[in-house]
Amino acid sequence: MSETFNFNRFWTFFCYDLKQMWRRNAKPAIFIGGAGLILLLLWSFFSTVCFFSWTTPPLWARVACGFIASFILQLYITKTYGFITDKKKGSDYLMIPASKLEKYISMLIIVLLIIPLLFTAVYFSLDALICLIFPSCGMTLFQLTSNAWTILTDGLNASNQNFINYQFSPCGLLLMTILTNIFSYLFFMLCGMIFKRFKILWALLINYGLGTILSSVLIFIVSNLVNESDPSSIAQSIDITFTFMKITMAIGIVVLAWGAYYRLKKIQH
Amino acid sequence: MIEINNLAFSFGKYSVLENISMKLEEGKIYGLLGENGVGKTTLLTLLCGLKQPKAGTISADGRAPFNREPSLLQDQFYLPDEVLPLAATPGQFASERARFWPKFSYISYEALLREFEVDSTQHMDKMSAGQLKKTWIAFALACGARYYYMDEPTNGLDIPSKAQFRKALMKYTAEDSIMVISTHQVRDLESIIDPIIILDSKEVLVMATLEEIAQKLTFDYSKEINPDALYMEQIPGGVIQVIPNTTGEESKVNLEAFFNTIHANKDVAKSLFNNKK
Repeated sequence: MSETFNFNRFWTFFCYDLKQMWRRNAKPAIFIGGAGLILLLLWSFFSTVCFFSWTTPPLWARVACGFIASFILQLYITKTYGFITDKKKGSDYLMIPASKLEKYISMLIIVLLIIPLLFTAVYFSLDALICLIFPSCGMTLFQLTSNAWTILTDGLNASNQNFINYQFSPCGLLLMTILTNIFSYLFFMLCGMIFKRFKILWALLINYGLGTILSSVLIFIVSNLVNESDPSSIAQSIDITFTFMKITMAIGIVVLAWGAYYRLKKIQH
Repeated sequence: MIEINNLAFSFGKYSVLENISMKLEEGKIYGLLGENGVGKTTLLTLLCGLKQPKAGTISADGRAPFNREPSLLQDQFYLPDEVLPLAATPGQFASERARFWPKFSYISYEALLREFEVDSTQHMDKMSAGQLKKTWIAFALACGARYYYMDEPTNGLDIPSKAQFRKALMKYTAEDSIMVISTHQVRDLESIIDPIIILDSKEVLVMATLEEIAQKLTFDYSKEINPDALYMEQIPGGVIQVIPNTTGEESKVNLEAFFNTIHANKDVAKSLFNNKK
């Protein structure tokens, strides 16, 4: 039997890991996913108290709430495998007979697929239920998503044709969204695996630092590319900016993914 | 066989273990003794692969523990001093984990839980410290591992449980297994641990079997004071004295007195048990 990867052993470990994850994180994850319900309650309460009329949250508020909940979920990711820095829990995890690669792949599947999908499913389903009970809410997020490409394309068609290029195509935006999300989830997961205390605080500080550096580089690139007398240079600079961001994200993902594996391999208790 | 060669470990600049070399053989229960902070737990965590040696090597039948290869992990069990209180009953705990240890025996596990009088319907995070420890010990022994590393296994156990633990250890471990037990409670385990390893400030001070100890030291329980005694302690009803064995007559080794003798006479200990690392 291979010491590096064996499918049966991986499956056994993955099922075990998933069960432990569910036990540890199901309640907080469902609570974050249930942010739509909290929004409904708060919105209804404040509209009644402040404006003496009972109203339901409109689509924009539910979308904004979804983004905020998604950000909170990313912060929560620091906790999912953050336990490996704990002496008791970490030792127990490391001593389970599965290879480092098997543990790592299980970790990636849970953090990059299962948790985001579970969150999305809970948030969208709850939103659909709220919209079904309170038709005044308007369009559900399911409907919004299914119409997204049309809305996006229509919006772009109505604007200046010069700005329409690959970067703003549904495919380009989807790629950017996926890369950004993978980067964020891996980043918060790795911060959780590295820092023993104040995991979220450290993650936010480093995130802020990285964001500042990247923004400075981007501003430098754009300011050097845009020529005010040449309108086409604006489109070109946007194109270059997006390409730069994608390349940066892709490199970042590789570095973070390697970092997480290295941390798992070298962690000591 | 576990072979340790010139092992060293440090926390930053603070050196804990230096130049440790020894061979641990099959079928033996090694008692790892030492004062607080001499590196007993560190040595155990190095043996099981939770720590990486700063220098030197450890080989468990040719495998380096820090590589944490599945084949070695399923052949060993590390029982820390403080065990995890999981939100599961002993049955759920075993059904989730047992599949990782191919030699795990449910029959042994259930028998051990019965012998330890563990309430198998109670969640582990609701158990008392002793019950929790016994559940983990039962699981560990049912794993059928070849290498066991136990850190203070009798801590938190009541008096009957300590006796049950000793019996279980003899009954449920394979004849070819290697067991290293770190303990301060030498009286709890003195009937089963042999050989004895005494760690002292970064090094192995003594590594000897009970037979070798008895050959070199006499444990005298008479009331007559011996001026050659290396160590003497008042005990109820008399005195225990440890004196160099000059007659060749073997006496029953008292591990606590032996440890205190070694601790108080390190140079004598080194000369008596020289080259036994």
